[in-house]
Amino acid sequence: MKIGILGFQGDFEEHAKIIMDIGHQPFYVKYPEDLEDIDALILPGGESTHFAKILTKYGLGEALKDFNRPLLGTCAGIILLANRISGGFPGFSLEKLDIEVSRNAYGRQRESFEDEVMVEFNGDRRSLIGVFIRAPRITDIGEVDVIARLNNGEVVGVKKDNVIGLTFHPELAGEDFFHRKLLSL
Amino acid sequence: MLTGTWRVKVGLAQMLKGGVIMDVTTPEQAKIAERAGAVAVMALERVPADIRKQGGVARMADPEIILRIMDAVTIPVMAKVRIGHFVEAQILEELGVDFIDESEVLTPADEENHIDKHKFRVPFVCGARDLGEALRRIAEGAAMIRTKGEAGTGNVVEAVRHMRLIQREIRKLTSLREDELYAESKNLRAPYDLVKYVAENGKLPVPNFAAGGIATPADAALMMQLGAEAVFVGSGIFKSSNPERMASAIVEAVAYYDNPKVLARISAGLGEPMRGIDIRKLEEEELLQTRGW
Repeated sequence: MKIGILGFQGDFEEHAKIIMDIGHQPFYVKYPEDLEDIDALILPGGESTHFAKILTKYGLGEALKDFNRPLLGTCAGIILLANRISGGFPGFSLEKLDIEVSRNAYGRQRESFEDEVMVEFNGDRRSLIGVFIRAPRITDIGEVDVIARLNNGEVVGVKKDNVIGLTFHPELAGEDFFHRKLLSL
Repeated sequence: MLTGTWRVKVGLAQMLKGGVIMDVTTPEQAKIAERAGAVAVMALERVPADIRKQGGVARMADPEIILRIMDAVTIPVMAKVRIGHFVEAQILEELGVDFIDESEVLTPADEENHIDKHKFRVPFVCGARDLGEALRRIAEGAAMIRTKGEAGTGNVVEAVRHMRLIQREIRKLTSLREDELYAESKNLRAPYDLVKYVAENGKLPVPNFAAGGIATPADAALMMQLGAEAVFVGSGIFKSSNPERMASAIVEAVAYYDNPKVLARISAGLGEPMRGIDIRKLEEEELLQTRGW
């Protein structure tokens, strides 16, 4: 399959490496027409204010609102997917997930961390490593399924239909679980 | 829960790829940078062009300035320390700065040793002119490398030289036999395990950014096409005649660095870029890039 990755800023190459490792073809999306023949799209980590600027100015944002194939957003990606944002609105949202997220809510880089994440996805349970870089926090959840929590119970991943949002980076720990699930949606 | 791991440090550097990091000296400038789409700002008391003009010992910025800039924006804030000055670094870590630049733009505090960057939870970026220097900095714990270029000149020629050299040395390593890497490690004055990593992967183990003399959208796109993964712009933005437009245009130039149509459009009508300096006219002791070893 051909998997699109929003490809102008952030850790798009780390996502591409995971996609190649599981035997599929990554494709960097930078223009609206790039969305036409991809089977799914990944919104990587990066700076959400930068994403918002480029997405609104280069027409990709409007095209993405109509995109209804599977989506995976990590870190800045989940900020783009959320319908409610606190802690400085980056200026653009796709409103695909009914959650409230707060930007940089764990603190500054000094407070960035890696930790065990407990995952339950359509009955498939496991634990894996999540890397949280100046990560957002999910502060309220509406009509979504919880798919990942920290050991203290805090929600760090949600899903609604074919849209997955994670506040952390599985790709920085080489974890391919969510990428495989994305391809099965 | 683990903080300050190698993965967490390099992770932030990876999040900045494809972006522009802008030098700012006031909260107002920081806000202009954020609105223009900067992925981070470098909080300074003076931009390199002014450091160059005013002379004297250049040190870490006043913490009050750094804190006011940190309060003004939601994007990461970096700040500079003198080469080898680990106490300035301890102070910046205490302030909560997101990335520390151990920088040749400031006056070195130690002419033999760089900071042991493994000792810190906050990641460091260091300048390099060639592959050996880059790998020595990574061995000391740098989580990001940038070219040194020649800061504060508005002249991209040195950044081009350093980026081309680093890329050429990387390509050369990938073509060597495994048993030749030991001697090459000695030639590069760099640890063998890092030399081997580069030979096997064809790239540095940390992101490789461009800095030093970048003054226009075309300069930024040139560095990206030469293999930089992101761009630092120092004096180039707030020494230009229209900083808001210049900042915005350089951000777009880095995002669409391989599209001449976009580059032509955003380069038009930007006003005067910063006035540049011919580096051949600088005296040897005026060069910043020769600081660090």
